Amino acid sequence: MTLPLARKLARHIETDMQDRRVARVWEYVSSRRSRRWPVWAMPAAGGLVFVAVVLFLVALVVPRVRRPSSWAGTVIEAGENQALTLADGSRVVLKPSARLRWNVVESDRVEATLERGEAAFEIVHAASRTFVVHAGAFDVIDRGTAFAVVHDGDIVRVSVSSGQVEVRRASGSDPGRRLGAGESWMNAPESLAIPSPSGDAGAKAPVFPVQRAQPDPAPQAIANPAPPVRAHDSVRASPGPRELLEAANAARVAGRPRDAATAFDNLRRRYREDPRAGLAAFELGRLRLDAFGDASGAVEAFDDAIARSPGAGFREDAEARRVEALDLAHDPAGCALARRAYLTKYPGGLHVASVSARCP
Amino acid sequence: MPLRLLTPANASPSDAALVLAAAAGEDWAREALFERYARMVLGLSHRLLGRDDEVEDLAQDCFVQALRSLHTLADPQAFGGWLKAIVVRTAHKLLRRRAIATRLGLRRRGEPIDVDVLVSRAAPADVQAELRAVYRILEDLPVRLRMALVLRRVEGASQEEMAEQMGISVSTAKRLTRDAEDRLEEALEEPPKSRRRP
Repeated sequence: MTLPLARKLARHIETDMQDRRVARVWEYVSSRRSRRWPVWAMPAAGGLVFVAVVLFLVALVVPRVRRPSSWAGTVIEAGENQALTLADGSRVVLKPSARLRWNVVESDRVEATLERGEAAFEIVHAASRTFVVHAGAFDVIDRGTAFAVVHDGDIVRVSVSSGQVEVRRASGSDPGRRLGAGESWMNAPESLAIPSPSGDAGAKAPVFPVQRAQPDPAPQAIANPAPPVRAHDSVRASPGPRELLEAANAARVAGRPRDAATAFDNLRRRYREDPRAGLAAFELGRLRLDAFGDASGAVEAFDDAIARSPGAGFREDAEARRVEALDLAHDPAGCALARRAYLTKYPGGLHVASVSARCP
Repeated sequence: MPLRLLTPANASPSDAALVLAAAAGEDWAREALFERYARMVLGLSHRLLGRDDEVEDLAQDCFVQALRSLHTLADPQAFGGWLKAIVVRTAHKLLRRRAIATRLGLRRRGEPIDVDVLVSRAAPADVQAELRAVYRILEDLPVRLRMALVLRRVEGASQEEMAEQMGISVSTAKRLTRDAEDRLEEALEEPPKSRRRP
């Protein structure tokens, strides 16, 4: 069938066009017609926009007035674990007997001095802010991280859980050293350095060149210090716990984890009563786990560390790493027990997330 | 508000004069334009939609749009054609929104167009047959094809007029016309059947 030519058929469609209907439509249209803005509306709106832009620029350009924080100058001495939370969400956990002084708390700079004891820091990194922890002769500068600092007499120890920190001498222009996640560092008082067999008294301390031939300050916090050892005698004499600790740290920094492990192991076995034996066992466990992949050996070392130094600052770290080691050693029952023990004991601990992820 | 036709003089002013006056804010001119074209808009809306229930809404929207944008009309004397294009495009948008909503399951498919109510009984037999065929297939066509079919076969628009009113090129109008007329031809060859869905 062929279609006829197109034509106008519209008149054959019946549409209701009564006046009543037309009036109804007009009523709506007339009520919705556009309103004319008064002549002053446009200049007024322009003026408001101009004022808003000026206020915005002023807010950008005018430096913010600094108000000293009420925290500055505050000294916090912890009788037991004490957690502090800064305005930006950063957390500081003070271990028992730690003493922390807030020197500066500003929006662009935070400085605290760990006068003694151990503190763990979980810092929300802000590029526009510097966060520095002074500990003895060293500054630990946050680079966006969680880290712990121990200040015990002359000994300063820094362990990094995540991110990076920079450790450098408070005085002098040394470039400092960056520590990454899983790394730790301890200072080496010069008097404890082991001379080289050639008699070169210039053997370097692990991280920074330090002054030599200073008398051992014999920190009060370390009980039963080993008898003073003359530098040249130490080559021939059996090394004491300090020498072993120092040698272990030096070996680790030099990239000789086997030597470091041997020294730590010797320290904890030969000087079982020495307060550093627990720390040596902990460090040995970390090396076994991280460097050698020996999870079972690590469990043994962490057990030893916890047994020897139940109140040590690294106790929480040791228990967390033990959970990890048990998990990697395929001991689900032991791992679950250790995990539960950690989470019960340290509900707000630094390692809650990583421990919770183990042997669920 | 009662409808009153206000004129400044006895003579009926031209579209151009009314448009200029209405654009300048004269209420009497706006009302006169409405009065002059209200029935055209109602009728065209009815024929494009194929049913009566949304005709008033569509007509209202078209007049509101037109009276708000009189200042954009380059040739005030062409108000009638311009208004017709507004009706065609607004109806197109309405039908497209309705089709999308139906496809997404947000709206129930409407009842088929009741051609017995729509088409005048006084129309000649061949006209009735053609209009019945047009409105029988209308609901099943894509929206653009549907608009093209009504404009061409009911309004009797040329392809140039279709292109202008739909805002498309003449070649697209020709293609749409061809496709629409093919579908109409098929419908005219088919015997009418019940299209009411269960």
